Amino acid sequence: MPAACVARACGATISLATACLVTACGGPPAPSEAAQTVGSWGATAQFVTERWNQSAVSRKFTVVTLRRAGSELEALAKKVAQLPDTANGRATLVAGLREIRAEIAALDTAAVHDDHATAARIAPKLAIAAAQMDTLGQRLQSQQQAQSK
Amino acid sequence: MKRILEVALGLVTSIGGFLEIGSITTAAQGGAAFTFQLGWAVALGTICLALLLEMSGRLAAISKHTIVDAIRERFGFPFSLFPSVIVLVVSFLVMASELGGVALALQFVTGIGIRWWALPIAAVAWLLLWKGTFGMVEQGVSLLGLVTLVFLVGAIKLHPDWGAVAHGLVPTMPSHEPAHYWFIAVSILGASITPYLFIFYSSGAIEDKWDSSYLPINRITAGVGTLFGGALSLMVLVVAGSVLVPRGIQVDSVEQVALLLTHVLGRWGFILVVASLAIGPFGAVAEIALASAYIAAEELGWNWSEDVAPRDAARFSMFYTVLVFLSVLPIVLGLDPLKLTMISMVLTAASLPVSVVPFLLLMNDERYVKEHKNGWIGNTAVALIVLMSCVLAVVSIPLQFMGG
Repeated sequence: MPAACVARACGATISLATACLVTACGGPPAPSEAAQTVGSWGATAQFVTERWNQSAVSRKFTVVTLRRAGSELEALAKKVAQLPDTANGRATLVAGLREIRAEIAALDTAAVHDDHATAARIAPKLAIAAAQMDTLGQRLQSQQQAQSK
Repeated sequence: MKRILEVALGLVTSIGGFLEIGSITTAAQGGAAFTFQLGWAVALGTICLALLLEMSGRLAAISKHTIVDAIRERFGFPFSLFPSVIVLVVSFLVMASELGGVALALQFVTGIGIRWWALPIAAVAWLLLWKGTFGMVEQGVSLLGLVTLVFLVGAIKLHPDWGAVAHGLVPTMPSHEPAHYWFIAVSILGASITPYLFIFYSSGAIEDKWDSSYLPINRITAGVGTLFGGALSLMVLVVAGSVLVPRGIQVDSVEQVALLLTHVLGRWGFILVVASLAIGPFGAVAEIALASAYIAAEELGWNWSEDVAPRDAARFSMFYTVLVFLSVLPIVLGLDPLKLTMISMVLTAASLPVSVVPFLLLMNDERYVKEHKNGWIGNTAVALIVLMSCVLAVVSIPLQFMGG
């Protein structure tokens, strides 16, 4: 009985953990959620660049963060591509995502080459693009909530 | 004088050892998503933990049994095995996430990927356990963990609306994204009320040979110390709400947490937050490994003590050795530390009933706690905790699918 008990306990916990992990890697997010995530990563990239330009964080950390932002947005882009063409806000979302990914890639290059001037030039454009994505996300969310009522 | 020093050390240990990757990231996520609205979850989790720690210390001091030992003796080996295995499995996931947290902090400083750091961190943690004493594991790292006071300093310098912070201590319904709100609330509670903590505490009381004269120290350390520690967790939420919400930044990675105090404290804000992300989780890795070895040894009747040479508690020492190095695997295999943290916190919340219910029964059994049984306040508080943890267990997994 103890062996069976151990097996049941382990099996239950591992199954739940696996289900959670699989779900965490799941299908396309809602456009509102995706837009806010894009805006969040764009704002993160702008924030870390601003801090790097003011010597508050190291260049190594800046590169790590920008690469993290890039890889997260790359994974998100694949999921957004699965959204139906008729999804509300899809076109704006895809365009914004493409722009922000390009800006982050340029910032990454600037950080690798310790080029503060280029980074300082790109960061404000990124801040605007990120804010637009955040606004899009909130608008889509409001529309979603209004429709569900 | 000796007792005053013990109280002081106990308080410092509680404060410095409170924050680890789970409490930092869940509080930061809560602040970034809902500003100060989830302060109540931090407060409730802290109060619950303080009550459970005080009870576990009281049980150990009076009965001279640890929680696991007492459950095994009172309810029998087959019954006690189930909660022990559940706690061991969940604690392993928590330990892996803590190790991932340390690895991330080192990556932020060096640029070297976390997969390369996992094994060296495990080796240092193992060395601390193998060569060190219980006091070194519990108090040594916690003293270094006082670096987390930077969140208190940062919160004060940010001049948040303290009225809104106080308002957040009262539970309210979310204004948006309810599934996400309750998911983060569950995660915060799971990060606060982790079973390994009160199991570790009771084993530590036995290691330190507590008796009834330690009950006042226990009350101060568990109660006051934990409340101060929880206040630090609340400060993380306040800082995240003050810094990230205006910028539209969610916490989807630990990198975003590292930026929290760079605006208000400059370079030192970055250095001290990264130090917090390294030291707190490192202490948690060592504590969880030790707590897990305590569970296995007490459950199976092995010799155990962190204060004896490893050869004198061979199976106990081998257990934590194997566990520490196994915990490297999830990180080396590429699991994201933040996702692993969130999942392990949710599973912790789901597993609470199996460890808390037998504990409550023990705290009302005169054979174990004699005249120091729970009063109606303690029983009511624990009964509410059990009820809350049962509700969390039912809702937390579906919320993971909806809001996580």
